[in-house]
Amino acid sequence: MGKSPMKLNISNQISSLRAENKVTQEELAQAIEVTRATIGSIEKGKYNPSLELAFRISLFFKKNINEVFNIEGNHE
Amino acid sequence: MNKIDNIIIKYCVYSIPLLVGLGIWGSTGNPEELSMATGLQGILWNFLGWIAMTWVVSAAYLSCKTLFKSDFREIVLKKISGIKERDEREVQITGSAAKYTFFSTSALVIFLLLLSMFTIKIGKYPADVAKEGKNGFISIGINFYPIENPKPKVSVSSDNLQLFNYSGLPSSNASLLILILSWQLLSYRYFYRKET
Repeated sequence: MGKSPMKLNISNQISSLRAENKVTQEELAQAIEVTRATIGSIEKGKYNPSLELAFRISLFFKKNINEVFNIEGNHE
Repeated sequence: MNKIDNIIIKYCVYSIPLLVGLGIWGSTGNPEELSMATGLQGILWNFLGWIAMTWVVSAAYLSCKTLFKSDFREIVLKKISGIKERDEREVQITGSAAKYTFFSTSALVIFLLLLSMFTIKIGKYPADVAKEGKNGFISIGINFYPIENPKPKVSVSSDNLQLFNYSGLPSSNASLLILILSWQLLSYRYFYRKET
């Protein structure tokens, strides 16, 4: 068997950006057309959004995608 | 979904308590006497009878439409199973819950298939037939009946020869189908909740 694939740990700043901009989960969810539960799951790191949704979130906060989502790589 | 279909679905759902009541009434009383009854009892019996007949026709119509019309099937089965696909996360969860449901239902069907096919006979030889060191027998086999499954399914014999005989699931086709359907719906809901 070859080398095991690199596992990416993706964290995000959505919670702090929401607090900065005084936006509730519900308001963000409505703006980017997802459910409030999805925002909650992304914030907790239980769900990794698609590239499109990640861009929609970044555009909402007027930030670059790497300012909202951080990637740390490690081999397992 | 059109208005008529909506009315028929509501009729089929909301008349279920009346059908259960009719079933209980019919099983506790004598249906032949009840069909001849006059007065309020007779009127009520006939009314419930019409409701039951209309329900059967409506249910047959709905099941045929569910089978052949894909858009109608999607709307109805989404409501029954509680499938929600409002965003990409729910679509992903639905997919993985559907996968687990498929696996668990397939495992159940395989298990039920084996239970319906194998046979077990446990018996005791009568004293005059018994050979040295052989007082009883255990026989395990497989039966496959593609059209009809002979009865009895499970029996405990009163004579000395056969103590126990299992030859297939002791349940009707309808109850087996209800079991599989319920298993499928409940396991989908379980896995969906687990994933969220």
